[in-house]
Amino acid sequence: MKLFFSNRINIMAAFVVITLMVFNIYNIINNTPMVPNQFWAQKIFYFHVPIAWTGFLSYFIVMIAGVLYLINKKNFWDHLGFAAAEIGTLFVLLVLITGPIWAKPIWGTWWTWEPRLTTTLILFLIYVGYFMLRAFGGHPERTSRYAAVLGIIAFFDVPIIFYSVRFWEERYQSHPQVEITKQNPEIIIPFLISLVIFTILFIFMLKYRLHVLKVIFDRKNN
Amino acid sequence: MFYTLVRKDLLLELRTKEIIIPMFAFGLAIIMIFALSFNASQEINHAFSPGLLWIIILFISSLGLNRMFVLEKEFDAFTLTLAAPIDRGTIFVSKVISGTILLLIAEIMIIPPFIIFMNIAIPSDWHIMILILLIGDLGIMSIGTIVSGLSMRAKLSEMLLPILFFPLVSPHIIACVKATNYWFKGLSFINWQAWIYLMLSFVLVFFLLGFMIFEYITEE
Amino acid sequence: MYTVNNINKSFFHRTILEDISFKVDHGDIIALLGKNGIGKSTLLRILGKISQPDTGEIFYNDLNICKEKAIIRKGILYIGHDVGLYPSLSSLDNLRFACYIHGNKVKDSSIISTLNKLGLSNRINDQIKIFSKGMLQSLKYALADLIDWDILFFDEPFSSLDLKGRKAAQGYIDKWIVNSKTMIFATHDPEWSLSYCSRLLLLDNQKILFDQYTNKIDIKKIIKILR
Repeated sequence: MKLFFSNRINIMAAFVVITLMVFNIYNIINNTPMVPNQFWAQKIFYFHVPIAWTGFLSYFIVMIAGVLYLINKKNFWDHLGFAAAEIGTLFVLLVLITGPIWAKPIWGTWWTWEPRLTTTLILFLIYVGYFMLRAFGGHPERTSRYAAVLGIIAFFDVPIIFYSVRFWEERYQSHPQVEITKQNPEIIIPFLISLVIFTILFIFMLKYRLHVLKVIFDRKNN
Repeated sequence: MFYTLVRKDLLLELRTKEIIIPMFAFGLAIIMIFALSFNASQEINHAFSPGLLWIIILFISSLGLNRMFVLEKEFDAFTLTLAAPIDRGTIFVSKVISGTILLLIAEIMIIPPFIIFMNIAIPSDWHIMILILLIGDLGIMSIGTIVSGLSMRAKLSEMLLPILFFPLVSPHIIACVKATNYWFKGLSFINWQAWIYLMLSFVLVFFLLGFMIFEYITEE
Repeated sequence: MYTVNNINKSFFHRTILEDISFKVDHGDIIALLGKNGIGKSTLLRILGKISQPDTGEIFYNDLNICKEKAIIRKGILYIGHDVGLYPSLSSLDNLRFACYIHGNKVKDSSIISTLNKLGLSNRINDQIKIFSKGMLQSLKYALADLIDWDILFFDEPFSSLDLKGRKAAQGYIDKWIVNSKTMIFATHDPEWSLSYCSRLLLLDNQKILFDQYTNKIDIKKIIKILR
């Protein structure tokens, strides 16, 4: 199998994604209004929320890929699940980094047990276990199946984690995106653009990672 | 069928004594460490004890789960059950039930020394605590059985189990601690019934999920 | 009575069994032959539904064992290469449990008399972890004798048995043959297979190399392949 970037379309796609991302950053810095009281800190919102969205999207894909893998045992679904789990964990890690960066100037503390952030942290820990299971699971077919099972379980755990943390400490403030519909269009439009661009970035990364996994798989087994 | 499987697990424990006694001893050790390292007043102990109790339960249940599945692994004994005409879901349910029974026994052994060493006074309506323990244990064992099934054949299974188990079970533990806390403070049930519902929904979700998915976990 | 259709199975992404199909008729005594690591045990484990094939179907009395409820597998007895009993339980407890879960309610007295016949009577209440390998192998025969099965999958029926044990084991197999039971043995012993089994299945290169009734077989050919 050929390498990913030996395909001309993929090189172009990479170029497009990079351009979009640069535009996105430029757009957020220059074309969004300063929110009173928050100033520059608020800008991280345009990254933090789209990243969180992509993270959860990829974990959703892990779950779907897991179900399909258990049904028909095609290697493609296993690779999709693994690739989505890797990218999802990377994005979730970024959420866990950008969250405190915002929280420090606004709430005066690095970490709060805010429901969304806590859910993300627990999910991140579950996925640390996921990669350990992948690494130590024993023979590969079983490992793939177990990883699929874990992806499904983790997904079903999310709403329960969220509600338990929310009941747990109600005094904590919610994240800004709760009032997103009440925000003015000057904020919403760049935000939505950022959301779309991050989703495109995610799709590109997923495609790349899937390709790499396929190449590794083919080399190992032929 | 189901009764036979549970009976076998309990018989195994009766013959080997490899589950409850280590759970109890480990629990006792944790209590000692906590009591000694905090060396706190009764008030502080009161505030901390519900959380502490569930931490101990979580630790000993992970120990017990590991032992339970090691007993199945020796001599490839699990194959006997797998080869028999029993649905994998039934095997799952029986494991959850026998795990819950073993954990309950260990808890009943561990709670008196816990009360004594932590120097706490418990409310008189202790039967409610039994209910909390029961639902809590069912939830712990539902997810625990799934996770032990996943980790039992892996390398480093005794390390992998808690790494997978603790984050997955965390929402349930939060609910257990909260419910225990409210009960401990003597608030009436109406104030904290939401936590019981949360625990019940956790039990329900993972009991059903395990029932459906255990087929894929036990498969070679 | 047992139909295997197009079974595929791979381990470490390497194909072990490829497109295996065969039919077992009532009263067949099949010897599954092949070199070490060729997939005999894997095939037996799939037949006993311990392991799941990647693709393919298995029918027992025209019912798909991978899809239907477990209860339709009643009558199938799988005995693995490993002991498959609980080391910490006594032989009596183990056998009682094994009979129960296979749907046979067996009296303790009949378990004890079976153990007697196999020369294990003085060890009835001992934990079986102290048993020697040969004794553990004998226990498998006790199990097969007590459970009322229609088809038996037996991996390595004679491993680690001494002469006396082997004789007892052979006695049981003879009894089952007389009762025209259906059996599949995974074995390394072509001579034994030829004299006791009615049919040979030879596994090589992920496939069934040949499948013949023993009265029409050229033994030299088999020995040549097994080398």
